[in-house]
Amino acid sequence: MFDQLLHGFSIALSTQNIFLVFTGAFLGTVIGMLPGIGPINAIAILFPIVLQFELTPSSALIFFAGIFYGSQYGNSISSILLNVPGTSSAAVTCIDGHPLARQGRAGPALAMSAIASFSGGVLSIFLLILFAPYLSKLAIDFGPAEYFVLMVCAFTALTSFSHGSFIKALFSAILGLAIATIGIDELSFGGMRRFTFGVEELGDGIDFIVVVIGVFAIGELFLYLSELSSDTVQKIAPLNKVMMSFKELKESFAGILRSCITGFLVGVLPGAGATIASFLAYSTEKKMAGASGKFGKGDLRGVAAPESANNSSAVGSFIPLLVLGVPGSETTAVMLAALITLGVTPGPTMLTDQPDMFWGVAASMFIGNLVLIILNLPMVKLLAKILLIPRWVLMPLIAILSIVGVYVLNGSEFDLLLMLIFGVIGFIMRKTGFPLAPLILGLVLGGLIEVNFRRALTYSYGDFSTFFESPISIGLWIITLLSLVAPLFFKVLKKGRTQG
Amino acid sequence: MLILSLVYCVSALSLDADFNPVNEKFYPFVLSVLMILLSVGLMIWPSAQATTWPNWKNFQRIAITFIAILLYSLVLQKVGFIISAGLLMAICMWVFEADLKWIAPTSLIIVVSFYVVFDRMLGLNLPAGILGFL
Repeated sequence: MFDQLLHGFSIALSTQNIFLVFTGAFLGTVIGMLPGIGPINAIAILFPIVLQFELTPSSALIFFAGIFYGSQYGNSISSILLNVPGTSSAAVTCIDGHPLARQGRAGPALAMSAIASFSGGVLSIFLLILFAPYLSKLAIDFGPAEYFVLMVCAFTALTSFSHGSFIKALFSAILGLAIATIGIDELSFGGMRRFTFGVEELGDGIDFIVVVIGVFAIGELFLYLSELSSDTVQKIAPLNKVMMSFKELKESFAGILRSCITGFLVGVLPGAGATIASFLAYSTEKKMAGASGKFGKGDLRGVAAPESANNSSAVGSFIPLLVLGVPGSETTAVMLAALITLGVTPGPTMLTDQPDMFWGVAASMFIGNLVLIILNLPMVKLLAKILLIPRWVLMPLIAILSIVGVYVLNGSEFDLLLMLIFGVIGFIMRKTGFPLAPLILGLVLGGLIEVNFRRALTYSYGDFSTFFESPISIGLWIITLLSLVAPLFFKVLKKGRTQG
Repeated sequence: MLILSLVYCVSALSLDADFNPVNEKFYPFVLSVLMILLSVGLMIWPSAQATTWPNWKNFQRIAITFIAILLYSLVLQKVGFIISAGLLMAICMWVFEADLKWIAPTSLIIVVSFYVVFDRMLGLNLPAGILGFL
C-alpha cells in the first residue's frame, strides 16, 4: 500500500497537478465562504471550461476534489463572521462560532476551525486509503445485475436520509431517471429516439451540466431573489488576534478525533453527507461536555466538532464514488458525470482498473489540506476581505458565469433555454420541498441504471430472477429494504414518544 | 401541493402516451408507473411543510431576471457576447439593487475581462457578433 501511495504522490506532484490542487483548494475556500455558491455550483460551472483543457480524468478529479474539500474549510469563515453559513454543512458552526465572534474571539474561532478542518481532513484521508482497497476486493464479483441492485440501493438510501418527505425525495430521483431517458437510445438497434417530442436538439439527450447549472445556479439565483429584502445589512465581526491558548486546543482535540470518525462514516453512507455529519458531531460533543461546556454561547469545541466532521465526511464520500462507482451526494454525482464524460467507465471495478486515479487523488488530498491550512490560518484576515464583495456584484457574476459555462459546452443557444427552464424547475422544487440531490443522482446514474438493467435482463433472457441470484445482490436488496423501512420505523417511534 | 402533484401526475401520464412508437419501452414504462404511484401517494399523504411564495416585488424581480436571460439566449449569436452579457449583467445588478452609478462601469469591466480571459486567453469561442471587428 505504501508503494501505491508513493506512486500516487508521483502523480499528484506533477507541476500541472500541483497547480490544480492549489487552484482547486483556493477556489473551494472562496466558494465555501460565499453564501449562495456551494461546491456543486462551482464544479458544474467550471466543468465545461475544464473540458476544454483536455485534462486526464485523474487531474480533473484532483481539481474538483480540491474545490469540494476546500469549500469545507471556507464555509466556516462566513458562519463565524457573519452568522450566515457558507454552505449548509457549516450551519452548525454558526451556533458557537458567531457568539465567539461577538465576544471578540473571532480569531481563535477561525483558527480552531482551520485546525479542526485540517485534522479531520488529514485523518480521514488515512481512513480512505486504509478502507478503499479492502472494499474494492468485494467489488470484483459485480456483474450488471449486481451493479443495478447497488444503484437501486444507493437511491433508496439517499432518499431515506434526505430531509422532509420521503415520497418527494423518491419522486425527484425518478424524475431524474426519466430526464436521463430523453434522447437516442444507445442499446436498441439503430438508435431509437425517445421523448424528444420532435425537437431536433433533444436527440443527443439533455446534457447533465445544463440541468445542474440550471437547477442549482439559476435556481439559487431565483431563490435568492425571492427572499431578497432591502434591510439585510451584513455586518462582519472584527478580527483580532488569531491564535488561541494551548489549553483550549488540548480540550478540543478528543472531540476532533471523535468527530472525524463520525464524519467519515456518515460521508461513506449515500445521501447522508456533510450536513448531517456536522449536526451529529456537534450534538455528540454537546452531550459529552454536559454542564461543563458553554455550548451554544460560544464554545470553541462547538466549532471544532462540526468542522472536523464536515471535512472528513467530504473525504469519506469519495469511497462510494471511487470504489463502487456510485456517488452518494449531488457533488460526487457531478464528479462521476465528469469522469464519464472524460471516458472513464464507472463501476465497481474503477479502483482496480484505474489505480492511478485513486492513489493520485488520495495523495493530492494531503497536499491540498496542507495548502488549505496555510491559506486558512495565517492568511485568514486577507481571505475575510472577500466577504466584503457586495451581493449586487456577486449574484449577477454567478449568472454570467453560468451562462458562459453552459454556452461553452456545446455552443448552443438551445442549451441556454433548457438551462433557464431547469432554473425554474429547480426554484419550484426548492420552494415546495422536493430535494434536488436525488434528481441529480437520478440524472447521472440514469443511463447506467438502464444499461445495466437491460443488459442483465438480456443475459438472463428476460428472467427477472437474475437480480436475486448472487449473495451480493441479496445482501444489497436487504440493505435496500432496510433503508426503505427505517424512516417509517423512526417516524412511528417519534410519534409514539410524542403521544406517550 | 395537491395541484402540483396533479400536474406532475398528468405529465407522467402524457409521457406514458408517447411510449407506443418506442422500441425499448419497458424501462421508461416502469419509471412512469412509479411516478404516477408516487404522485397519487403525495395526494393521499400531503406533506405538512408550508410553502411560502415570494411577495409581488420579488416575484417581479424573478420575472425580470427570467426574461433577461431568455432574451440573452435569443440574441447572443447575433449581437455578440460583450453587448448581450453586458446588458444582462446590468439588468441583474439593477434587480439586486446595485448603486446606479456603479452598474455601467462594473458590468463593462466584468464582461470585457470575461471576454478577454475566456475567448482570447483560454480559446473558448464566445460569439463576437456585431463587434466582430475587434
